[in-house]
Amino acid sequence: MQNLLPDKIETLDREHWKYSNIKAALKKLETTEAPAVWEMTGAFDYLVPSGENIVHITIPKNKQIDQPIELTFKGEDGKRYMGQVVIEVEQGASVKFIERQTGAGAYWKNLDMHISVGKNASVEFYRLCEEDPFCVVTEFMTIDLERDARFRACAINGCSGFGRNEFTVNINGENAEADLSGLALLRGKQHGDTTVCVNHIKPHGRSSQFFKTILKDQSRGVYQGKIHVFKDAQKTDGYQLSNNLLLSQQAEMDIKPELEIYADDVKCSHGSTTGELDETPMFYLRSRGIPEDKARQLLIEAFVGEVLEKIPCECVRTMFDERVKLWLK
Amino acid sequence: MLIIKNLTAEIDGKQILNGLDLEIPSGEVHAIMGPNGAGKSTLSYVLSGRDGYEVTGGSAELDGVDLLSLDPNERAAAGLFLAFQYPVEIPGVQMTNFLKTALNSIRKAKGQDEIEALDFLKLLKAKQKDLGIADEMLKRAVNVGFSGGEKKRNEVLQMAMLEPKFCILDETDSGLDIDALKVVADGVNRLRAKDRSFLVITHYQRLLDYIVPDVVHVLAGGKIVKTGGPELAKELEAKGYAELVA
Repeated sequence: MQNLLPDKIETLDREHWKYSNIKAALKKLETTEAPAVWEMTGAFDYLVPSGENIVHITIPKNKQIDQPIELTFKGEDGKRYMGQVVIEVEQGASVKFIERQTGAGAYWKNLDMHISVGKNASVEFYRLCEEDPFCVVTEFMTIDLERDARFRACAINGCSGFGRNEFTVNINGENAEADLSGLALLRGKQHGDTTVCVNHIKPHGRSSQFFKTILKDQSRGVYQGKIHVFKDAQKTDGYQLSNNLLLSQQAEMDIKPELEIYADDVKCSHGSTTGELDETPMFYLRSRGIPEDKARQLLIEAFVGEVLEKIPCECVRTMFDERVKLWLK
Repeated sequence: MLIIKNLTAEIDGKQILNGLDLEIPSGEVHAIMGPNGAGKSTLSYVLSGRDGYEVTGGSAELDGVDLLSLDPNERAAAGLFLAFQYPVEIPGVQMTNFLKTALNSIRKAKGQDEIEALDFLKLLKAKQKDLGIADEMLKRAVNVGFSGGEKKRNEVLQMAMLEPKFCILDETDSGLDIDALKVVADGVNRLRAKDRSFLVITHYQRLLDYIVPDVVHVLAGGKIVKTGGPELAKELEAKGYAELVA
């Protein structure tokens, strides 16, 4: 397990964790170590036996799997889990995953997820985090893309007390494509951190980051997004956008967009907005007889809709849509 | 019938309306013309209840209902409709859903049941046909990607669907070419009825060739300074506002 481990916390890169005080979050928890148990559906044919807390999945060459493979990880009160999932998608294969994080109580899940996407292979990865508001969930995803590989991820994060969802994408082959999007729904005193780094190492790569946050009460959101274009990665097309909606005066959003570019023929852009609901569309809707609450609901649904409509898989889109509507109520 | 008495209003502490009096009986179309800064748009926003427009005195009643004490959505339920000068784009809110939500909100406020899905579609089909609005337009988000003409036709479509008692058309002619103007004006004229009145706010006389008013008012310095028949609009077009405002 290469990523975050308990003994590494003391030596965390401070700049990288500036907005998210993981130490303080873990201090509040009293947990005992427990083995990580994943419930899986649809993956049995592809599971490779491995050690405790580690799941290996290999999708063989040119295999096309339409039905999403579901990975569910349930947390229990007072437990601490260190888990690892290694997914290898071989050349020309195509697969979808749904990762569900659930549980009740105060616990810490610390996960390391590694996905390698072979030549011309395609992966859709959907993460749905429906956690208990007292838990800590830290998840570190590393995605390695070979030539012509495609990776698409959408993460709906809500309800963990303290959450850090980190993506590191390495474009190791030419003409590979990564499309990352997500929605963080925060309330109470929740802390939701999305940290992304896309490393464009080879030329002609495309990457997109599109993340939104809705903050209620005294919640705090963090988005750190980096596009790192290496010297050889000419003709890179990198895009990054973060839109955040504050529904409370006490909520706080920290955003750190970063572009680090060493190649001279690339197209990269980033942008971010944070604010309350616009008065102008609100007035327009109300002038048509729509009461304030309903108008607000329509505008918030529209805000999240922009993320959800990017999900090509209809069954996932419907599932995420229901989850989000439930939260909005 | 709309009755406005001695209405005063300000924005950011600056007084814009200075004791405006206006009566518009049911079934009539009145036009308000006036130079820039006269308070035309302020009047439309004050009547529809937009935030930031503070009423400091006077009254406005629609069929005996005190508009100024109501929220914007309650004013709509009371029968007021404002056709915006610049209709607002709302990404992510689909047209049909928007129209249905608006119609049902108003029905609910009036104590009526929600409209049946099939009846709604029938009603919508009939109204959109009159205005030459394609199905494709209703699948889009509200006003997003609409041309200037489509946005104004969309305002008239909403008016037709919601069947208000009193409509304000705020510079509906702005940004329209002559063909689009005719379509919009025809749509409005079709809605003229015994129990419905209109206030047409415009800079130019041109619109009034197509929506012929019963009465023309001149607004300057935040109040009505002159009232006459349709010929007043032609007179203004010829002479300009300078003489009247002076």
